[in-house]
Amino acid sequence: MTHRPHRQHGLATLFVVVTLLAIAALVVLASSRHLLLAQFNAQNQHRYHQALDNAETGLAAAIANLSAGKSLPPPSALYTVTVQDLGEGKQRLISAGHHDGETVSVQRLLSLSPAPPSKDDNAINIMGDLNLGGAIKITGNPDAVLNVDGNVTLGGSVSGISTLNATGSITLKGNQQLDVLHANGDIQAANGQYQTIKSKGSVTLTGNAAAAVVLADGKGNFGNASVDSARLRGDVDINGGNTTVGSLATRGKLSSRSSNKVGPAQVMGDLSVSGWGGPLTATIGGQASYNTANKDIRVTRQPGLSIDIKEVEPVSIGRPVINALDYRALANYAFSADQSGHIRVAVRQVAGLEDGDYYLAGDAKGRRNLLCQKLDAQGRCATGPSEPLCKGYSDYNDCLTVQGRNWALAGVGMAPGLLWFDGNLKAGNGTYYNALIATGDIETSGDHTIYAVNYIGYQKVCRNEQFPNLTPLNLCDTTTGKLRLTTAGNIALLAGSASEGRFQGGDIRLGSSNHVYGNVLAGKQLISGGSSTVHGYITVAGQGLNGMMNQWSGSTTIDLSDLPESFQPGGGGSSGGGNGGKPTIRLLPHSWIDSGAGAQS
Amino acid sequence: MKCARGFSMVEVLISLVVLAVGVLGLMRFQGYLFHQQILANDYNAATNLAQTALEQRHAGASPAWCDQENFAPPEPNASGTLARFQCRSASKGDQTAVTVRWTTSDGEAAELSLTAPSRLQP
Repeated sequence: MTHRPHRQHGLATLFVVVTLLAIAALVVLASSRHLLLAQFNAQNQHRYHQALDNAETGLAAAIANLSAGKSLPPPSALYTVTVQDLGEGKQRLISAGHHDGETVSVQRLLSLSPAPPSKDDNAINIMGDLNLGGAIKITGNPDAVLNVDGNVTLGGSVSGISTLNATGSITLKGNQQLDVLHANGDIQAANGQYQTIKSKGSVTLTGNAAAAVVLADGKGNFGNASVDSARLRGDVDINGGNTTVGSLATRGKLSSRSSNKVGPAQVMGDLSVSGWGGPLTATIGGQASYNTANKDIRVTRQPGLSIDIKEVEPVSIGRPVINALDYRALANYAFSADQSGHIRVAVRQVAGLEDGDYYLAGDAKGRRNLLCQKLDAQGRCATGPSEPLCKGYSDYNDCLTVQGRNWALAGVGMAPGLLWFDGNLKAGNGTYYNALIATGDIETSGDHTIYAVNYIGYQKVCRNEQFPNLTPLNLCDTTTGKLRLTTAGNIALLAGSASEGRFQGGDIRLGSSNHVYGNVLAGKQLISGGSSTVHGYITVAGQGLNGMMNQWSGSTTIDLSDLPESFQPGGGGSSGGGNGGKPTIRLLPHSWIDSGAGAQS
Repeated sequence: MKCARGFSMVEVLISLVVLAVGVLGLMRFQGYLFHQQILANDYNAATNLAQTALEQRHAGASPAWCDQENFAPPEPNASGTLARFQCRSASKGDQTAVTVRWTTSDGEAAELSLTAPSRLQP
């Protein structure tokens, strides 16, 4: 008989129990596997979002830098920004955000093509008070604006002007037609038709003046006028029997003598109707005084009536300083006279000529208008004559003479570029592809035609057949065959200078048979002798007027039709040109792309 | 004489002790996993809450969620799961940081934050 030891039973039992526990533990671990994934997911979710937000931070920083003309932000612990050139002026910005080992990228497409130039319709800018006795006509721009930094009195006629802005008051005497009158002072119109009148002072319309909308911070006085809609913060006095006023709101009181229809009106103050009155419907906050027998007057009293009428926004006009001295360093040819009366020319940035000082004189053979570096005892070019700088009526006629500081330009033409004169300039016959800039006054006369370089374009400025060896390098990009556009290139005529707070010259006097293609900038005032046409904008700075009014008595036409693409007459008054080198960044809509986690580029 | 069959009392007791220790350990582990699952869910909810509050600012919503300096419910009328979280925001420069705080199922305080630009270019 064999006996098995009992110990074997116990070990087997323990083994079974431990095995069961192991199986149970494995089952628990297996069933909680999804929990481990959930843990990872939760932490990944947070890392992903923070990395995404860091990528957005990088994208915003890159867009801000590019818009400011700066380079991309350097890589940091938060983000790395790269750019891909897609051609056709498009670029792809890729910003990779980093956080706790996670990387998420976002993209944005940019357009580097220049945005449409900001529309500047300020065709005429006049500093100081203006008394317009003559005529101004603008064609080719239905949105043309006349800005006056001062008071305006229009006794003459204006046509083609959409908006008249004045920092002072506006007084219109004639039968004018303008879309917008906007003034910081009072506006008075004795006649005419207007779409919108906005005044920070009072508005007075008399005669047959008609306005669609009147907005004013002050009072309204309407005498035999017609107003479709008016909102005024001050009192309204309808003092003409034939005055018609449509929708009316005032925070003051309303008094009416009109027998025509008035209203519906909302009046915070009292209402007073003199005489029998006409049809009038009003809601008033104050007291009413009218002939109650007139059943066409319907008044509703609403004590405590409050009407919200916003203040008229003020007119703000930048006051330019026109100073020819600022342009001397930019000029290709700066003319001055020495003590002996010889013409000195400071040449700058001209192909075929070294920068420096030259004389403009003749030679022993009698030829005139030559640039040379030394003169002989007779005042003729001593060293080898160079290119003729300009063409007189013949090779033996002067094109430019000087008496004291008074210059006279007459002939066929001048080497293209920016011309600067120390003194007064009388520009006579000839066709010029230049900017004429003088520290004194400028007078045009005879058969004078002037084209600003931006107006005439590359061919006449940079490939001029008359002066093939005198190419102004600062205006011509000969590698691309395009003009270098500068705001100085928009100038046709600029007169006047300022030094140590003292103004000199600044009058521009236009002859009747002249043709001006470019901007005209008068430091003091513009005098139109007869009927002048300017194909550009006019700025009159009123420097040195000492409180006197700009008197505009001639007839001036501003023709803005068919302007060449290179000529942007509202391109600003600085001499630098362009927009300061800042690229124009435009974010393409719907171009934001989440490149996903882990994507770098 | 036949040998006695079955388990002795000692064997049964030892087995029960081993089994009890093992099952108790597993139950404790199971509880730990249960709390961790709740924590993971809360972590997700807090991340989404912070991101939503930031994106509300990007979209120009005013007031956006968590638009307060001190910890408070994301919005005054918060209810349900949202009411379990408190948050605040702080702006520095053009960046806004939203911090979310909540109490875990273990009774401990947990917190996370996200930082993003306050405004994005449209």
